[in-house]
Amino acid sequence: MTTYLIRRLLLLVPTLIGITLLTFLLIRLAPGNAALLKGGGGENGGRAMTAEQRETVIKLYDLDKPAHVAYALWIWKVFHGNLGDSFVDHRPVTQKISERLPLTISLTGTSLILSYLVAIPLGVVAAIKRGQTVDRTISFVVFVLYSIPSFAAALLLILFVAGGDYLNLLPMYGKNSINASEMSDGAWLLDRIRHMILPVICLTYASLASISRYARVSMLEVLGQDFIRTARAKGLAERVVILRHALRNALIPIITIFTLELPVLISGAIILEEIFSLPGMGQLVFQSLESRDIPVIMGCTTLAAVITLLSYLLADILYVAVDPRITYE
Amino acid sequence: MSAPLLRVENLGVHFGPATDPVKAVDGISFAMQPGETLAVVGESGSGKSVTALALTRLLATPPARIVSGQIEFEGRDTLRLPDRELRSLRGSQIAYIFQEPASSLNPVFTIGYQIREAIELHRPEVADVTGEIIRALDTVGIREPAKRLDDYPHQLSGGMQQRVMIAMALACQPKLLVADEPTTALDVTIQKQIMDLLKALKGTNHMAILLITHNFGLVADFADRVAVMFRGRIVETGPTAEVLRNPQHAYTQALIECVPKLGQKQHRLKVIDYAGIE
Amino acid sequence: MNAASSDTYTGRIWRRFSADAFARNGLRIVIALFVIAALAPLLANSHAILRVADGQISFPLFSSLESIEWRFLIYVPLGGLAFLFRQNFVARPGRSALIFAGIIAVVEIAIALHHPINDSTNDRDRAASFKLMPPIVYSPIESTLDQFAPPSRRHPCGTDSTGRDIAARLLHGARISLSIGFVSQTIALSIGILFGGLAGYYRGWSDIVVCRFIEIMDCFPSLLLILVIISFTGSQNNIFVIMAVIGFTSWTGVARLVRGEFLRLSAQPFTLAAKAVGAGDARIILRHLLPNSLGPILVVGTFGVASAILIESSLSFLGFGMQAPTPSWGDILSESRRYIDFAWWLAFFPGLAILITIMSYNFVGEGLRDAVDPRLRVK
Repeated sequence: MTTYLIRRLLLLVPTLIGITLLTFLLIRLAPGNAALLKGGGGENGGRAMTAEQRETVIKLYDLDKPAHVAYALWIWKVFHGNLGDSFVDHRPVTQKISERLPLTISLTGTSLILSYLVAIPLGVVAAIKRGQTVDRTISFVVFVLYSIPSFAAALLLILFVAGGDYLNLLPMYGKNSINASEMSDGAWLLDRIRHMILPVICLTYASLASISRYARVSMLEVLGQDFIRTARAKGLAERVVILRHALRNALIPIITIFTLELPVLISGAIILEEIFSLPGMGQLVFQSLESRDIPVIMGCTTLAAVITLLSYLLADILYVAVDPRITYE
Repeated sequence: MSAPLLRVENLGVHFGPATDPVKAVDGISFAMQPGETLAVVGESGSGKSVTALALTRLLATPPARIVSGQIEFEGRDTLRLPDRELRSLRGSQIAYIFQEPASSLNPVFTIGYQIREAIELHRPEVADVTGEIIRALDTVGIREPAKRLDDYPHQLSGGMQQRVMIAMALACQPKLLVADEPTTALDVTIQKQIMDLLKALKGTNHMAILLITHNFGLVADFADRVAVMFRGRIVETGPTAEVLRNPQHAYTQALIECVPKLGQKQHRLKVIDYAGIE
Repeated sequence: MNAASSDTYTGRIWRRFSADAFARNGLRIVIALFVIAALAPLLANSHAILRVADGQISFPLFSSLESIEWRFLIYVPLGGLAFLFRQNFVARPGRSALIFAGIIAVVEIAIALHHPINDSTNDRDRAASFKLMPPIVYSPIESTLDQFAPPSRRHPCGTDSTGRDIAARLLHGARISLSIGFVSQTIALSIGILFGGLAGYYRGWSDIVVCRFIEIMDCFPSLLLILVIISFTGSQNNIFVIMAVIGFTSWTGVARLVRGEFLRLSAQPFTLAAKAVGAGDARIILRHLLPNSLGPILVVGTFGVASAILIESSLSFLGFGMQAPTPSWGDILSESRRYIDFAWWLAFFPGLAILITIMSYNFVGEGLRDAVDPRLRVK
C-alpha cells in the first residue's frame, strides 16, 4: 500500500505543476487587459485599477521580472501560504478565505451527505422494483429535477415559499436573522437552520438526481450477476441478499464518485450563495470577480484546484481499499 | 419402491409474451430416489438449466413464467410453498453449484465468510463454525484450508473456486445437490478432478445428485440414470448403461454418435440432423 | 424515416432510439427549438411580413433583416434539407460540392447586395390597407411604455422593466442559447476527439501527457474557471469569447471517452487486421476507429449541449454572459430577481424555457445512450 501511495503521490507532481502553471497564466492574463485598466464595461462596473493597485499586482506576482522567475517566486509564496492581500480591504487573502470557508462547508457538506443519504435508497428501490410504477415514477421525477437549473429553482422557491406574496415560511436571504446575536443558543441554531433550508434544497436536488441514477444502474448491474443467484440458492432472505450481498458491490463505484464530489465543498455554491446572500466562499469569489480583486480570485482558484487534486488522490486510494479485486498496480 | 425424493410432474416454463411464448420447458416429468444420481443431458437451449433452477423457484419470474406442473420434494410442492419454507429448503435440503464459479462467488467477501453464512443460516446449532468450514474445505480437496479462509474468490484458480462452491453447497448436508454444468467452464484435467470429487462425495454423503450437462461423456461413469432433453421435452430416460447401449430415440442416437470414438476411422465428425428428429 | 431503414449501424441505432417515446418527443422539441432559433425574426418582430399601403406592396420585415439573420434563415433550413437528402449527395460528391459552392456563392452575393433598412418605426401602429404581422408583434429589444405588464393577449409572457415583450425576448434568446450551445460543443468535441484520439491510439507518451493535461484541466471547477477568464479578459457580452471559453473548458469528458474507446477498439481484431493489410494510421483512425466511437461521442455531445446552455444561462444570470439588451434567458432571469415579488412572469417563463430545453436535450441524450449501448438499457 505504501509503495502505491508513494507512486501515486509522485504522479501528482506534474499535475500540481500544471495547475500552478495554468493559474499563473491566468494571472498574467489579468492586468494586461486594457478594459481592466480603463475601468471595464458592462453592468458589473469594473473599477479602474488604480495606479496603486497596479503596483501591488505587479509586485505581488513579480510581473516585472521574466516569466520563469516570476513563476518560481509565486510557487514559493503559495507554498508558504502567502496569497497576498485583498485589493478591497487589504486583508490577507488567507484570512478572508478562512473566515468564509466554514459556512460554505456547512452548506455544501450538509447537501452532499443529504443527497447521498436519500439518493442511494431511492436508486436501490428503483432497481429492485425495476419497470414497475415506483421505478418509473422515481426515474421521471429524478429526470425532471436533474434538468432544472439551480438558480431557476432557487428563484421559484423564493417566490413561493419565502418572502413575497405567497407563503412566507422561510427567510429569503442571509445566514441568520438580524437580531441573531440576541438569541439564545437554541433559538440561534433554529434560526440558522431555517436560513439554510432553501439553499441546501437547491444545492441537493440536482446531485440527488444524478446519484440516484448512478445507484440504480450500479444496483441493476450487480443484481444481474451470478453470485446473487448463489446467495438466493443458499436460502438467504431477499432482504439479506439485497442489503448485504448486492449493496456492498453496488456501492463501490458510488464511493469513488463521492470522493470526486468533494471539491464541490469549496466551489460549488457560487450562484446559490449569491442568490441567497450567504457570506461564504462562493459569494467571496463572486464579489471579487466583480471588483476585480485579483489576489482573492487567484487565491480561491488555486485553493480549489489543489483540493480537487487531493480528492482525486483520495478517490484512487479509496477505490483500491474498497474493492478487493483491485491490487496495487 | 420407496417414496421418491424428488418428483417433477408436467413442469412447464415459458418465456416471452403469452400469445407467442418460447416454451423452454414443455411439460416434463421425472423422479429421483434418495441417493440416486440422475444426469439430464441436452444441448444448449434444451431447457435443462431452466428445469434445474425451477426446482427451488430460482428463476427470475418477470421474464420466466411457470405455467404448469408440480415439483414435489419429500412430498411438498416447492412451486406452492410459502417463501419462508422455501428458503429453509434452499441450501439445507437442496443445494446448487453453478457453471461459472468465478462469477458465482461474491467478489467482496472472503470464501470463509461465504461458507460461514450458509452454516450459520441453516445449522445454528454448530458451535465451532470455523472448524466446520475448514473441514468442508478439506473434504473438497483444498490444501491448507485454514489459510484459505481469508482468501477472496479472485485469488483462487477456477478449479479451486468450484471446489469452494461445492464445499459451500455441502456445508449444510443437503439431500439433493443440483450441479448445473459444473465443469463446462474448466480445463479438461480439472474437469476430471471435479467429477472424481463429486463421485467420492456422492458416496460419503448419501446425497442425490442432479447433474445437468451437455457432455454425454461425463455421464457414463457418473450417473445411475440419464434423461435426455430436447427442445423442452424429455425424449428418453432410463438407466445409463441401457440408454448408452440401446438408445431408442433418434435424438439420443444422434447425440451418442456425436461423441468421437477412439479407434474408429472417422473422416468427419457426426453432426446432428435436426430435420430427422421428432 | 422509411421502414426499410437499413440494418446498418446507424440504422439500428435510429430504430432503437425512435422506439423510446421520451427520446422521440425530446428530439421533436429539440428540432422545434432549432426551427424557432432559425426563424426567430420571423416569429417576433415589430416589422410586418407583408404590407400593402398606398397601393404599394412592401416587405418591411425582410428589408430589415441583417446579414447574419439572413444567413440563419437561409443556411439552417438548407442544412436541414441537405441532411434529409444526404444519400443523394454522398453518392455524387463532386457534383454535390459544385452545387453547394454555387448556392453559397449566390446567397452570399445576394446578402452582400442587400442593405438592411432598419427604421425603428414599428408596423403595429402604422395604418395600412393590409398587413401581415408575425405571431408576436414586438421586437425583442423594443421598449414600450407598458412596463411590468402581466401575461395577456398582447404580451403572452408579460413585459419587463423597460416594457420589452418577454415572449419576443424568449424566442430570440433561443438563438443565443442554441448557438452558444452548439458552437461551444463543436469546439469541445473537436479538441476532445483530437486529444483523446491521440492518447488512445498512440498510447505511450502521448497518453501520459494527455492524461496529465486532462487531470490539470479537471482540477479547476469549470464555472469558476470560465468566470475568471471572462472577468480577466473583460469579455462579458462577447458571444464569441463565451463560446470559445465554454468550448475550451468542457473538452475533458469527451477526451476521456474517446481515449477509452480508442484504447478498446485498437485492441480489437479488426484494427489489427487493418494494420496487417497495411492501412496507415490516418486511415485506421478516420475510417475504423472514429465511426465506431460515434455513438458514445454523440451521447456526450448531446449532454454537452445541454450543459453548455446551462452554463451560458448561469453566466448571463451572474452578469458575466450576454447582457441586456441582448435577449438571453439567463439575463432575463437575473433581472427578475429584483422584481420577483410582483412580477412572477419574469422568472417563470425564462425558467420554463431553460427547463424545457435542457430536459429535451437530456431526453435525446438518454435515448441515444440507450440506443447506442443496449447492454446498458435499463428500461
